[in-house]
Amino acid sequence: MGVPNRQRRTEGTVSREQREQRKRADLARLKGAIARLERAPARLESRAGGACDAAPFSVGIDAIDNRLAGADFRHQLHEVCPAGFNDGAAARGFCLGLVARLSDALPAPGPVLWCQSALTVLDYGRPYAQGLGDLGLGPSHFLFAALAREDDVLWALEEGLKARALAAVIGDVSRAGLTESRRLALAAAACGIPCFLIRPFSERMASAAATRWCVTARPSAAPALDARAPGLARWQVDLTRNRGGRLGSFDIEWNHETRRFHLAQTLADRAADARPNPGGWERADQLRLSA
Amino acid sequence: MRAQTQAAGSGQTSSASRPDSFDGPAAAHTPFALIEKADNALRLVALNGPAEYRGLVPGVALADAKAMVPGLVTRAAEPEADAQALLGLAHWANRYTPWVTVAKTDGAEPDGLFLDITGAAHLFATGDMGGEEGLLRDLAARLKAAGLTARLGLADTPGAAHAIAVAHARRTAGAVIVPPGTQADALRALPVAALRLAPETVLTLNRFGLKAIGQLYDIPRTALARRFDSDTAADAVLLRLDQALGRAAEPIDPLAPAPAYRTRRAFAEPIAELGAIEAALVALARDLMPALAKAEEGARRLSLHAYRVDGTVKTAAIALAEPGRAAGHILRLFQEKLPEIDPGFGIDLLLLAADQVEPLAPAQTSLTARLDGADADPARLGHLVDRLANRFGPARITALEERASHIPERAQCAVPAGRMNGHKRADAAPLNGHKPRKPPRPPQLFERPEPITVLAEIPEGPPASFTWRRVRRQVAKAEGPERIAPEWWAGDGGLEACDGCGGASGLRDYYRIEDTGGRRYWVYRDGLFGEAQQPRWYVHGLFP
Repeated sequence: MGVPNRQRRTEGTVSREQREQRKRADLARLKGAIARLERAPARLESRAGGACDAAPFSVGIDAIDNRLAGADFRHQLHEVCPAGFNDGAAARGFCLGLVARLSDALPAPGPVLWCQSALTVLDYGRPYAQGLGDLGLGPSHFLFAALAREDDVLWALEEGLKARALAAVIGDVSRAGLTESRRLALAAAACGIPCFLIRPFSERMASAAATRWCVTARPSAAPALDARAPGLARWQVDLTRNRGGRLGSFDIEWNHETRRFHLAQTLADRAADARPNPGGWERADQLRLSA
Repeated sequence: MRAQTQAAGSGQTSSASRPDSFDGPAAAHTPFALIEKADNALRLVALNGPAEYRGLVPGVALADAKAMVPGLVTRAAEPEADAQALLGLAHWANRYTPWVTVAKTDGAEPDGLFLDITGAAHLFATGDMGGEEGLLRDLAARLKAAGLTARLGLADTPGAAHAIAVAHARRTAGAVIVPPGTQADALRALPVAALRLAPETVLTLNRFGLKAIGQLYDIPRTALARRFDSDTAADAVLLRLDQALGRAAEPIDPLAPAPAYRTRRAFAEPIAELGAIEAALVALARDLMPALAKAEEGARRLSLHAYRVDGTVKTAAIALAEPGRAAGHILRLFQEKLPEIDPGFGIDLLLLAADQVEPLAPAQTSLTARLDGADADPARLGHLVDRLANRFGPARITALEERASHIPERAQCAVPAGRMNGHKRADAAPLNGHKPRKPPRPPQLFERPEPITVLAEIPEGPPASFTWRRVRRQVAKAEGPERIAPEWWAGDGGLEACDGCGGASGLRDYYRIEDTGGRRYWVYRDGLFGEAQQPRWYVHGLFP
């Protein structure tokens, strides 16, 4: 009984500042030990592909990365909406670009589950292997589910998240309310797998998503070799919802060869005035225009 | 092999298969017959006990029979319904053994069942009663409860069991068991008709004075063959005799392929609640999985059979993308299907069968596996595919495989996502070092190309503007054409077969088009200018 008393007396003599300092040092040492213990098995097991071991997610554009919650991006529900009736393909392209970036960052990515409802299959068609390959995502990276009802899609998405075997989950749904999106958000957070919902442009329902991206197609910059051909895919992406971060609007391009987003050059923003004509007789005319 | 036959007269199966027909408490004492039109007259084809007792035999004309037995009740025979009822009974008999087939006499419709109970009888041994006796008693009691009059015989060979059941049990109306190895003695006194021979063959034998099976034992085989004018009849007699005595093999070909593994659980009191069925299923899976593990095999298809008290069988089946024996996973798949099993008035037996198995080596769990479950387990992906495929059907859960074809819609094939053995690193190679092909393709392709109205077009070039989905779009940029010709080596040419609207040449000119708003389309012109049919334009996909 006497010993603690003596200790308390001696502690009383050290200053409050010293005590705080010692406590901090102890904490740092313990934290280091825990981190070492946690990391060791992960290194031994080279194929362990948990989200925690992966590099932090980055879109590749600093302006966007600064606004995102960093590593948490992988544990969240994200929404991608076309800004207009005609921007569905652009929204899908942007979403696939994000998925490509995500699965690149993982050491051993599982496939991506892409669930479509019958309605979205009718509107945008079925996934096409060669085209996905052009985007940088080989067909072997996907597991497709074409389901009849919206509820089936939501069920499949949640199952996909809970299986913890996938790199990401994409849902092409036309209807998902607050309750449904909250379920998906919780499952994504619990399992550490990102979930992307592609919403129809007209729907503005309440949602529990962490981010919402509105995508508008933009006229592309002319490629270097052929001024009349469409260039790299270019979208205006509005971050209209960002839990715990700032919003923003970005004009970006997707380069499928480097599998990277980058900010579009504003100079290339002028409307393409050249009429398509394979004959080539306008070339001199166009040269004059550009001069 | 211990074979057992259960011969049910067609009259009995008929009345069982038709609830509206002659039935009820009076049935046991009223003479009853099934009639059929044969040789321009209505004739009796099957009789019940009281009708036989009054001297009627099958084949008698109805008019004569009515004169002999005025109170005779008749119904038209329905051979198809009889066959169906017999098949249903065969499936029901699967509860005793998977080796069940229908038995038939030469030149006649099937009229009984063979059950190969080798290795199954011990399950029915109770107290002082042997397994065979117990099984027969159980079978007889259940058939009687279902309103069927059955003649049961048990012997080493199907032939002997059939003969005993047909000839012997006709008199005793019970079950007869022939001790192993004594079928020659047991059959000695029985009529030759019990050997499953055609009626004309039996008639010939009877004319020779060969009435009992025992008489055939002593006749030299060549002498017997000489008495028939055709070799086939003589061969048939010898074959049936050999089969009955066990000198010729007669394997039982089961109606449904016998499952590799199965476990059963019988209930003293029929169960009907979902919870009770689930609990029983857990116990069955616990029985079955160690057997699979011991044999180093995994199940690909499993089925749960619920035998209801009314004599029908309800089945739920699941399929696995890759062989597995994880009880938890299999139970989870079955839980989706259990509501499909209607317990009716109760289930008195549940049977879990592994219908298809494949080798599955035992896997060692990793020492360094992460405890929090964040480890990428290759089995988890298979489980996900199983859950999705069992709920929505395997055709809806697909993976894409590329095919060698120039025709865009033929360049891939959606295959059921089966053995996706994790995500192989080899597949991932194109992920990083992938070179996009030229010219590009859209990531999604319409199921059917959508026709567009081209408003202003330059011959042999891309459209200047077009209308698609009721919206007019001004073309700003275009790339092309990429000409795709029919595959003349593919027989049907490919292009015409795909959308049924190909021009005379079947050529397609694809353009990648961007409109003034930056939206991109993959359009093609079907056919050439100058052909008899004006070329038409379609959108085949959208670029992002």
